[in-house]
Amino acid sequence: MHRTLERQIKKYLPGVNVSAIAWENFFKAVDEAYTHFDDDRKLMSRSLDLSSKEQVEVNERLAKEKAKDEAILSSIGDGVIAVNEEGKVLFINQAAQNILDLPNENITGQPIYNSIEMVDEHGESIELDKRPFEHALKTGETITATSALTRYYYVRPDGTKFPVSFTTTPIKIEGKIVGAIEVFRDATKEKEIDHAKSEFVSLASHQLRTPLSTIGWYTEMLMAGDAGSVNDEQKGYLEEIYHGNRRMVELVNALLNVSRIELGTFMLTPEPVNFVELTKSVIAEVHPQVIRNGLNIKENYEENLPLIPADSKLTRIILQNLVTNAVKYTPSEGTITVSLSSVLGQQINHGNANEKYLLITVSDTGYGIPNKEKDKIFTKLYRAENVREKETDGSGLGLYLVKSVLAACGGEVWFDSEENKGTTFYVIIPLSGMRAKEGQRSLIT
Amino acid sequence: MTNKPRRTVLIVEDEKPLLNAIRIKLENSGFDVLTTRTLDQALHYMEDIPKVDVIWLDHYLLGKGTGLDFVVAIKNNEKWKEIPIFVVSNTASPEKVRSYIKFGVTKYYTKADYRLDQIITDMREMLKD
Repeated sequence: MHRTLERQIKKYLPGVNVSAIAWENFFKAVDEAYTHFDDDRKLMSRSLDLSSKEQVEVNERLAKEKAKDEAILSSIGDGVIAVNEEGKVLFINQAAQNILDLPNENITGQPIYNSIEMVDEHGESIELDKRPFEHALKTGETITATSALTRYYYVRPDGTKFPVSFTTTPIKIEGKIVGAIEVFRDATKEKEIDHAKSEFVSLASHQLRTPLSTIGWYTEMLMAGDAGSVNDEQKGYLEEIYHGNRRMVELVNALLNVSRIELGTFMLTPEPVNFVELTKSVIAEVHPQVIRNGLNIKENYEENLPLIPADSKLTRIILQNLVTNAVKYTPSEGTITVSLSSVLGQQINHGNANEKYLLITVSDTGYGIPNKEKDKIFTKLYRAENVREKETDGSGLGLYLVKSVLAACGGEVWFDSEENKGTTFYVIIPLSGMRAKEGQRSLIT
Repeated sequence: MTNKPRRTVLIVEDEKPLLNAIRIKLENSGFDVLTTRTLDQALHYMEDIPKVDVIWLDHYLLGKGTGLDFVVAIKNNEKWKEIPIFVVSNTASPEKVRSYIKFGVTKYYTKADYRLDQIITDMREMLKD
């Protein structure tokens, strides 16, 4: 091949005179170029071959994964629905179709809001921007209602509705919301059980109050000498019975209130309330304990606070709980400070930024709330470990009631606390007033 | 309490131990006391006894009728409608409280939350004794 190449070059380039060594080098270079090219070609063809093989493998793997996912999703007992960023259904599993009674309809590709109606407990349609899917898509937040207290209901094609317990989570790819997925189930049974439980508590509490009245009144009469004189020792015993009975009455009242809140039967009737007067009267009630425990109470009231439309019974429950807690959980010579002022939401980073609120703060120099228990302090029946050791009297219902009542009326409650330094509770109530709520029963103060 | 006129109180309460406690406490406080556990007998007392000054009333009663029926009967009778009525009951539903207040009862107490002497003090004040 080198000879032919040499002849060709000499034919087309007659004037070129090249030494034997130069020819040698030239042919060597040409050889190498051919070899390299051949290697590259082989490499290329091999890698092409490889990648198509891999492609097949990857495809197979993906198909398997997809089949597995689909198998998992369709065999899950809970309903699963996924939507894209426009709220159109991407996927609905068998359980969801069964729960919603949609066996033959294909809603894939349809907007979820048209396909499945969602209503509240009164049967009123839930506004679009309050629908969990819309909320997840718009805010990127997970929305969940997993207890029997859910207020969301799905409506089946035949018009029947059922309470739905769900978690709706946005699907994000590289931070961008591309859809949302909801896992849900029918919460009818749980709701029925919860309702029965609350009704039972309510009934039992009523039945309990009659014998408690008997104990209270007869003890009162014995102490007053209505059945003849009693000596000091007997009087002391009777006082113990009387106070034990009082505690029992308070506990029954608290249980009744909790069951009313959970049944949703409590009512909220706003009327103009003078918060300063109300606070003063609550403080006056605890005066005997304040003296007995050697505490100081400071009161700061902003001048000219307006009357606020509020439910005075509920407001009293809130104040009583915060003030009695402060008194109960502050060692002697401690100080409790109660303040009332008006603030804008943005000043305190709570509520709505531009709305005006009444801010109630109750701070103490007491035992404080341990860090690890701070997230549980509003939980029903929960009592922090450090106070359980010091004070046996307490039901763990007070702060739960405070939080529930405020949640129902448009207010908020939160706190700062350091163990062995003290605690400050903050409550805000809109100056425009508490939201009214129709109900059968008021709460008991 | 020497010069004070003796007052007659009618107690309508179904729960025997409570009825007795109220009776004893009111007698010890110088009242003449009538007691009954039913609506029917309460109405008979009203017919038969010339002067009832004040009524102590529970909501749930023995037999037919409730305290509310009794209040309606009292307030619809020209002779009786000015008699003060103190409702003392453990049934604190606001509908009931509202109905009682609407029909013009003097005061509504939740039994478990009030001492007897507190209610009797209020009663005396009302009667201006």
